[in-house]
Amino acid sequence: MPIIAVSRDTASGTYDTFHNLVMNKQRMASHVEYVSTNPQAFARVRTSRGAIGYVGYGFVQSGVKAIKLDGVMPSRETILNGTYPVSRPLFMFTNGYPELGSMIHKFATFHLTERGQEVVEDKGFVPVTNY
Amino acid sequence: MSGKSTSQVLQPAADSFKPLLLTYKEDLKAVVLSYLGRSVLFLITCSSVLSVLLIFLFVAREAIPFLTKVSLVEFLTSTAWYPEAYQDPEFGALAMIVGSAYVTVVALLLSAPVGILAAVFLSDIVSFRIREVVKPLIEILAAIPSVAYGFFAVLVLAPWMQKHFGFPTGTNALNASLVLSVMALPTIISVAEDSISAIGRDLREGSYSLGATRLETIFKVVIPAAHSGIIAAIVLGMMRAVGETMVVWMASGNASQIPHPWWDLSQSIRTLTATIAGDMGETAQGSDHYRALFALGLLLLVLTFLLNGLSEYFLGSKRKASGQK
Repeated sequence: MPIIAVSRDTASGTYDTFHNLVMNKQRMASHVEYVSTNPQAFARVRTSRGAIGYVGYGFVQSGVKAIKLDGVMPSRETILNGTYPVSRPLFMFTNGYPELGSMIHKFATFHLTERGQEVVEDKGFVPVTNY
Repeated sequence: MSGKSTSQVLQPAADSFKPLLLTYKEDLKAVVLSYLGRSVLFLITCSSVLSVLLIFLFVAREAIPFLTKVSLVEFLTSTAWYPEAYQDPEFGALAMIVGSAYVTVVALLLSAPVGILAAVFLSDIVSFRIREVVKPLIEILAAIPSVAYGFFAVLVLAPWMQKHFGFPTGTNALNASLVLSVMALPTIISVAEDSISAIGRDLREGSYSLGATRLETIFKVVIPAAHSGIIAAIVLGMMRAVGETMVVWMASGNASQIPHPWWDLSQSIRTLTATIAGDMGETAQGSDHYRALFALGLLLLVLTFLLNGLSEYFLGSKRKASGQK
């Protein structure tokens, strides 16, 4: 069975992470298919026999199989303690440090609150604290 | 105006003494107003012409720095598209040019015969009442948003093709072409139907009176007589297929390769439009990749201008032909 390799488009952050950490900045083969979003990559792999792809941890749902890397399964523990080799932090950017208590400050730090961390975990991503 | 007419009523004689010529002031006012009206209308008309020119200029301005940096020969003949590579990124657009050509040609091979036959059926065969129902229904096809077609292609057509045709991947050239052909149908049918209907009754009756059957009349008289309008319809359908973005982005697989062997439509391909739409969103502004996308856009624009000129030429010769009659 031919293997269908599914990648994110070359301008995405997920691609950039994969390109740096997994591909070692090498080029992908020309038959690699490109999709524009993580859910689309997930759907392509779920509906196609012989397909393999990469998505953010939060997009892995039932219907596809996550695989071990260097013998390590991706999970909250292995990603947090760094034994799973492919992970990256996400940043928020503001124009200057926002005024304390302002709407921007609340928004930019929401993900660090207990409620925000719950949402992060609920969406299948890895929270940075053990709230 | 009303004041003038009442004064006319009060002093009917005064008007007959007034010279026919306008006063200097009135004359000036009329001239200024007419020029003003003209120039306003001219500007309104120009705004659309101007926007076309500005689009062209803007795209060219962003693309030209790239075209001077990377050789045009490499851009047009290489299939290596690695715009984000850290060491020597490569910008070969050939695979995308070929991909666009593939989906367009295959879509037209499917939709042109169907569209023309449907147009003949609507104009010459079916009863007026059914036609009044069917034609608007076909035009609804043009109103369906392309992302809806795209979803259908990815979620229904792609798994179906893999299951029943045994294709390795469902998002491939054939999938994109099929969906594009459906999208080009309403354009082809309505333009072709208009031009076939415009062929006069006299021509058809002349053919029947010489003993031709309906089939002979349609294929040997009506279609040849309407050929320029039909060609214009096909070219317009072609433009729809070349320019379509969302569907090909979702349905073609976006692999930057030329199918090998060349007739194998079950392989993924990548088109010009999909590349621009897919990459533009998160490309750093002003980077080589960004400018390369504008170069692709320029290529696409030039292509569409040529096709548009072609359809204008054929529509023009149709007008000329019907004008002579």
